[in-house]
Amino acid sequence: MSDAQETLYLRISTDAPLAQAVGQKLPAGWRVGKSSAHRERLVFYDTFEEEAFRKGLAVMRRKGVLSVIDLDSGLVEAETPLIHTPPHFFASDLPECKARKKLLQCSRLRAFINRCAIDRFVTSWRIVDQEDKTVATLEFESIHKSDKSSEAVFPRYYSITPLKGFHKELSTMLMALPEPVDAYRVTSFRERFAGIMEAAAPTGKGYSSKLHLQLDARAPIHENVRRLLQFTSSIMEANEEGIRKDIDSEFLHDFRVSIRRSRSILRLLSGVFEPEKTAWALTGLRELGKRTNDLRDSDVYLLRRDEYTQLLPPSLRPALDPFFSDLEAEKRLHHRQFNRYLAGKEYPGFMAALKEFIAKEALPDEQTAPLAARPTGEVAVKVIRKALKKLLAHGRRANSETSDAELHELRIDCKKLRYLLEFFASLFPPKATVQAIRQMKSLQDNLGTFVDLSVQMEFLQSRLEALPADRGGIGEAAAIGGLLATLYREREKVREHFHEIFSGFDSSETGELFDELLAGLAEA
Amino acid sequence: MKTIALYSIKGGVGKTAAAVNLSYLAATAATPTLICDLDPQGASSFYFRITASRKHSSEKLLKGNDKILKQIKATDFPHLDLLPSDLSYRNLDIELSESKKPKKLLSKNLEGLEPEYRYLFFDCPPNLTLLSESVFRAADLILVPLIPTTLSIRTFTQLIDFFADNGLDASKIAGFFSMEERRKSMHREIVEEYQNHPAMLRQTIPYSSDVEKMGLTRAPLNATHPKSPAAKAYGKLWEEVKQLIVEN
Repeated sequence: MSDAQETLYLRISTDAPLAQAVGQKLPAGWRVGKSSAHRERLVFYDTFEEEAFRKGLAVMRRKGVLSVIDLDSGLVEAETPLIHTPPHFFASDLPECKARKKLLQCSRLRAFINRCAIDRFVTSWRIVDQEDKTVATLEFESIHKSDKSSEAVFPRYYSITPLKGFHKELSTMLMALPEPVDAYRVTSFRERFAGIMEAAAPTGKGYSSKLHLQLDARAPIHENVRRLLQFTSSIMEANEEGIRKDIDSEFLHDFRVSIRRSRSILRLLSGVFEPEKTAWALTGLRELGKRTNDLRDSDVYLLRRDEYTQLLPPSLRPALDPFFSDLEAEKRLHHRQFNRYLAGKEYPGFMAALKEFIAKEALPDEQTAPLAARPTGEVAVKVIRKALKKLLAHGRRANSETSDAELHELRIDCKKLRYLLEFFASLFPPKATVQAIRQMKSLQDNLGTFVDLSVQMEFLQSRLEALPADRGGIGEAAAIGGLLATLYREREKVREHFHEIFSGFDSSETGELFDELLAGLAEA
Repeated sequence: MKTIALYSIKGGVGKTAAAVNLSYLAATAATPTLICDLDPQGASSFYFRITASRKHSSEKLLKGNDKILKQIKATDFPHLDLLPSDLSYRNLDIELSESKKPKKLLSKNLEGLEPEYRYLFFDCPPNLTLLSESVFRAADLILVPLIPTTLSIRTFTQLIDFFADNGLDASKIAGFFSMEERRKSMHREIVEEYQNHPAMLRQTIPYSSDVEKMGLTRAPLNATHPKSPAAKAYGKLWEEVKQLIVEN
């Protein structure tokens, strides 16, 4: 349904005018030819987060060709053959071409999922002038979901495509439309696309794992933490299906971030709920998080395949193949295990209990939960100050050697502060939060990279130790050794930079920035 | 883009019929085709039921590229477009003579069509003028329909001589017999004698009332009566022409 540049689409806004009346209003000598009909199936793809749509693109398969279409112009920007209709695919699965490049720009990590399949029924007529020359084609299109059981109702359209060189006759061509004249409204490709999506694929609409809560500074913190937990638990649920189907690794990633965010906020704001309730939720979430660790590890290392291969000299690269095929096998195992857990009794039971706990509006007793009734703004100032102070104190304490443990701990401090800033973001002047987060960025990056490299080294080391010496493991051992050496060098470089980056953060500028941020809140 | 000119100094030899049918055969999804009607009589425009827009004129043709692109119209047949003729084309020669490099003007003006079309057909007016020379330079192949008569053969050899005398590439010329009537002994003899001439194509187009009726159906014969003997002959002629283009 991509647009030829000249096609004019008219959305039918009232009851469908009678197709039998097509062409009756044409001037003398003009007429419409015999009608013909055809049907085509269109399948629309996008990632779970609708990244193509956000970039102004539609991704559509039609007649064995995958097209990337610009939503504003309706023009095909790139296309590539796609013989089957996969339930999902990665941009990197496509052969080297412009379409692949376009989709990689939308997302490297996320799979493009079959969002909806529709059947487009088209009746077309030729519009013929007094010379008996075809000057345009007139089409009536009605759409039905391929899944026959669906009762989705789609908008219907007439469209007129003047032949090349016959645009001047457009106003006469419009007379071919059946009455009433006011039944039509000219529409864009974007609108037609949106019409289809609205009717056919409402699931996952507007999904974003980014936190955007609008908080009221005077409302009790209890209410707002509950809202945060409502958000994180809904994100967890939204990602379950994607995890189950193993569509891409981001589903599990978002699921885990939600767990971490919930835990972090619960711990930092421990006085908001009764201690035993908080403890119960924290234990449950920690257990849940742990159950995802192995699967996430497999995902992460499989995603690093290209990167690892590039780090090694060509002679050692093939030796990584057994490493990755083992990882693949492990991943399948972990995926099965976690799926079983998701489908079993424990997980749904925990989630139901968690949601029930979150849903309880009544404020807990002040004796046991002293923070619960405090105004959100006041609590926010306090906890953010505390978290910043802790981060700075820990950072300053780190000596010249900066041990692994210190940097690990600092990274967690950093994340905690970040989660707090994101949670309370709506309370601050909009620019202030962005600035504060930006101020933290290089420190977070430094610590993040350090921990990341450490974890990778640990993983590779354990793999190395488990390698059976007898079955040709020498090559693999050499490859892993090579990776370890490179990662080690990188990590030590990151470590060296820590002090420089931390002192950049531990400055009067940061102090002022946070003062300003929190002062803005106090005033509100 | 390959440019094929249908040319004859004489009128009424089946030039336009050949241009219309061959361009129809040439047009496919892989080989979009444009037919340029250069004859002010506008016969090929008529066959495709297309009249030029009021703004179109010889001036536009001489300005080239963008101006030309805007005047192109789609025929009723997929992948085949037409640049219609206009009565003002009768002055093309005078206008050409006033330009700086009249003989090269046409090929330069058509450069802009390159990305859109794989085949370009010229339906030329029957005369030998500056415009013809401009066409000779722009074309990769000059197809000359000949009625099998002695006079036609004489004109054809004159054309080849003209090419030689004016520094034009005579190997671009390919004649074919048109409106051949087997029952006429002169036709039979001439076709037999000249069929192996290096500048002649093997395929002949028989005289046919079906071709004449194109004036009534106003569509390529190969679209309306693809099984008719003349249509089949055009089909074979196009195969031969295609081969020739590949070889050139």
